Amino acid sequence: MRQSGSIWQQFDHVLFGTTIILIIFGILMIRSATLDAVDPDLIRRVPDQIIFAFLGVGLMMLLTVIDYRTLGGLHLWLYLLMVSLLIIVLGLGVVGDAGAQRWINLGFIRIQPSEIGKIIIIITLGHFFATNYQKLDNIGTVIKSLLHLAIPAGLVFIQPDLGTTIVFIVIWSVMIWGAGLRVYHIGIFLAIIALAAPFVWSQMQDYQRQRITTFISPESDPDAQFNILQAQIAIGTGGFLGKGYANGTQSQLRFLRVRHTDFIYSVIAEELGFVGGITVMGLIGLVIIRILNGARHAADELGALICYGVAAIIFFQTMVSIGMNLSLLPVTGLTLPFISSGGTSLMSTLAGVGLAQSVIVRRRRI
Amino acid sequence: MSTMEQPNFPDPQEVMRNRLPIVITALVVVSILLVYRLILFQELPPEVAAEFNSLRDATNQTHLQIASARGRIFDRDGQPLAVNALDFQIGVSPNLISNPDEVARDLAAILGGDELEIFNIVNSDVQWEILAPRVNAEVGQAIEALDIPGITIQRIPRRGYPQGTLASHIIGFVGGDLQGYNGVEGYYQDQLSGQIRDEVVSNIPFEFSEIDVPLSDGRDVVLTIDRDIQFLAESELLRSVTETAASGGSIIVMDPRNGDILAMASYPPFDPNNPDTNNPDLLRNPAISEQYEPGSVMKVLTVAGALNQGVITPQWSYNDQGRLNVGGIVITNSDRAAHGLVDTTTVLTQSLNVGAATISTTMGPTRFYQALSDFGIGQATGIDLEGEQAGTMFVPGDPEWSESQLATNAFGQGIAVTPLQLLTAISSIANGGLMMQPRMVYQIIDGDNVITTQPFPLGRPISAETARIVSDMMVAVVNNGQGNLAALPGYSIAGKTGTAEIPTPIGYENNAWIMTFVGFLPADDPQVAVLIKLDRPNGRWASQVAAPVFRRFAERLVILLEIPPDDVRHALAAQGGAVTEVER
Repeated sequence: MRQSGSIWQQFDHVLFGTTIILIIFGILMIRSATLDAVDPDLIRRVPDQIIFAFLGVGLMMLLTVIDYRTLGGLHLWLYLLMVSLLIIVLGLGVVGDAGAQRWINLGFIRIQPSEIGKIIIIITLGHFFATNYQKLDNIGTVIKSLLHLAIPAGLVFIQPDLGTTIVFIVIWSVMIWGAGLRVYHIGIFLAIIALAAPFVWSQMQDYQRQRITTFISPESDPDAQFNILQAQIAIGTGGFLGKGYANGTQSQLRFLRVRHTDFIYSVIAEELGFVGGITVMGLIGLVIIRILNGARHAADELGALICYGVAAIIFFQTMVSIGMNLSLLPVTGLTLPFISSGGTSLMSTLAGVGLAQSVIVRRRRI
Repeated sequence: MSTMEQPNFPDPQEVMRNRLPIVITALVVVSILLVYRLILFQELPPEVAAEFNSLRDATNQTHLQIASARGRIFDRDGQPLAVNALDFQIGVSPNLISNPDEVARDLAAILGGDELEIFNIVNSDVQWEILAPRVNAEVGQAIEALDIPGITIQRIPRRGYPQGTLASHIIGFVGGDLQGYNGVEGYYQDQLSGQIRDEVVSNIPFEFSEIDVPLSDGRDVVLTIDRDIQFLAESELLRSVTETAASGGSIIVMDPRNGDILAMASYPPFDPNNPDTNNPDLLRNPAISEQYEPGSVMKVLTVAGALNQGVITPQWSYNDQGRLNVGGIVITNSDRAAHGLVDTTTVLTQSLNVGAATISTTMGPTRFYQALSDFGIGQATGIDLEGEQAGTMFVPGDPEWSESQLATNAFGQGIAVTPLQLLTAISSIANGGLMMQPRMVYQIIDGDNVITTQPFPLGRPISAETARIVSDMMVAVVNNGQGNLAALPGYSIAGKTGTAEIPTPIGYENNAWIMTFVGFLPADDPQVAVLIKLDRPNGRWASQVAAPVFRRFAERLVILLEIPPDDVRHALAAQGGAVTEVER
């Protein structure tokens, strides 16, 4: 069924173009958020993001050219690579902001294995479900897929990185749903989650619990409340058209913490208003729709599942990041795809788009 | 693409396509939720929007009271007594500091605080924190010179009194609300303050407020005080209080010719540079606010009033039996002795209570109290200082008045005056019977416009002739009477002592007196009148305690005022030379 002719005939220009627009938009917003910064770490943000944008687009194109089925065939090696990186980071990792070990310092660059893992697990889980979807009636298959997830997700959790752990779980959930998870199995899982929740709570890091407590009752932590309140003021005073680029009082005055990452959406909503906020949602939504469209027309199960997984990452992170800015969800530290400052995060998102594009260019002819 | 291995199993692609709508439904539901939430933020209820706006303003704006420069206060020679200084408030925005350990070290070296403590602030997560609420200009400028981004330096105007505690009771002080209190600062608040404007200042570093409409500055005030005489008065007072173990006291120096107050010292003083740290009781000016029974000084007013009304003449005399019963109270002399046939002058030189009571009872209450009232007793002088009291004089008709007071008031008991009130009254005798209102401010300078205050007569309680006669009697007090320890060789001095008991709600204090000496010189052409008052000093009589203080003080005062001894002055006058201090 392999189509003949150049893969570029099937290339999704809308997906590509929207992605590029979002990246440029993101760089401009990071510039606004770090304007007149004194902190050298903040000053580096814009040039870094530009460099990673080029690297990321290159990676995206590379993954488009590489046949995803080739990657699927390498699933065992990829899985080993992911687990090794996650183990290495626990041993050698750089301790970051919240006391978490998330980076490996390679000297010229710092890589974040959990971000690489998000992409790899899409391929390996995709391969697993593509070969086992017929056996999904069997709860054993479901449990096997859970074990497949549990090793990397567990390693991420003990870094500790609650946000990315949840992303892993979401990837698994969406992919197994796409593979045809039986509805009655869902009931079983819900029951298990209900039973496990108290244990998980007891295993959480203090800051993770605090974030949840803060979300439920913001007054419990004045510092966290400050972030949420400032985000609310920023968005609430932005109005319909916003205060103008680089003119947001909350963001320019540094009242918004981590405004170039976690709270970038507040900067957008303050400076570009309701219109800016809706536009960003719309553009990211368009990317997701194009990727899900790729799942619909994928040439095989692996391709469809890869698109499910990539869409899941982008969708979930967008929902959580914006939801957090709108005080709908707790502050998890997840970035807004394409927009937030952060090299590895941008690279992994673009790698995901590249994977989806790889599926799209090899889709069935309609 | 692998082909179907189990033909009865549904097409896997079909399964995946069928599952897609649910995923898309979730996507749509979440999107709607997020958009709805975003719309909710746009359509905030007015009260929430108002709260958001005020919260935003609270973080973005600071409300400041912008005050124009307060007028300065000078002594009569242009020496600054009150000026405007700047303090600096040092704050830090820790998130703008990139090298906290270095910054902490530099700041600790200048501020002199604990380096670790400063480091903890500089390295903290707070938005902004005060490092030092108030430092002087030297420290502030040193920190400014470091030029560290993230260190905020705010100038805070402060009222500065370069002479320290000198003349503190006259000047008063400026409170944290930028209002002047007490003394000149309080009385001339409207002139000194200029304008105060409430202003909203943006905290946004790069947003400058519009060019200010300049506020008109406060007016400068020049006092009649002479800093050198004030200093002399304060040091003499401090010395006397210390030597006599007095609990307090006042010295007032006044020019009887125009009412200019040249010095007004009270002990204990306060520190106007730190008014908050002082005992609030010290902030009042006792020279104008403390009412006390003056004692025998009052006899001068009694005699002057009686002479002026013609009730007695200088040649009048009476037979002093040492006792006089008035209204059921027996009046005795301070020495408990009978002095026989004595004249008016002797009533003053020997300070005879019986004599004064005889005169006042001869006058009768109407004429007696009219005379005291003409001298301003019981009324504020109206000096331009905040906090003046009127004194207390009961007259027939008041429930507190009784017949015996007609006698006791004549020698200064049962009647209360302020030191300034007493000096003002006596000064009228020095000024040929014309009583000048005491004044503190000589000029008000409003830019190029200089307003000079004019001397203001309060009234003429006695005729020039009476004034001359009483003045001569007061000279006799110093030359041959109880005031002889006040005598200064070469100068004719008119004066009177007063030793008064201190009333309390349950009678007079035991073994404690307030001792007063009031005098002026040169007696034949008075240029200066001085009141010395010591509270509860060691010793029994003002003639022994207060009179010598006057002498010691006058000895140096005549040098400062360039008043030559009488013979020199008379010789100069004979040559037609200038005899008085150069008029301003």
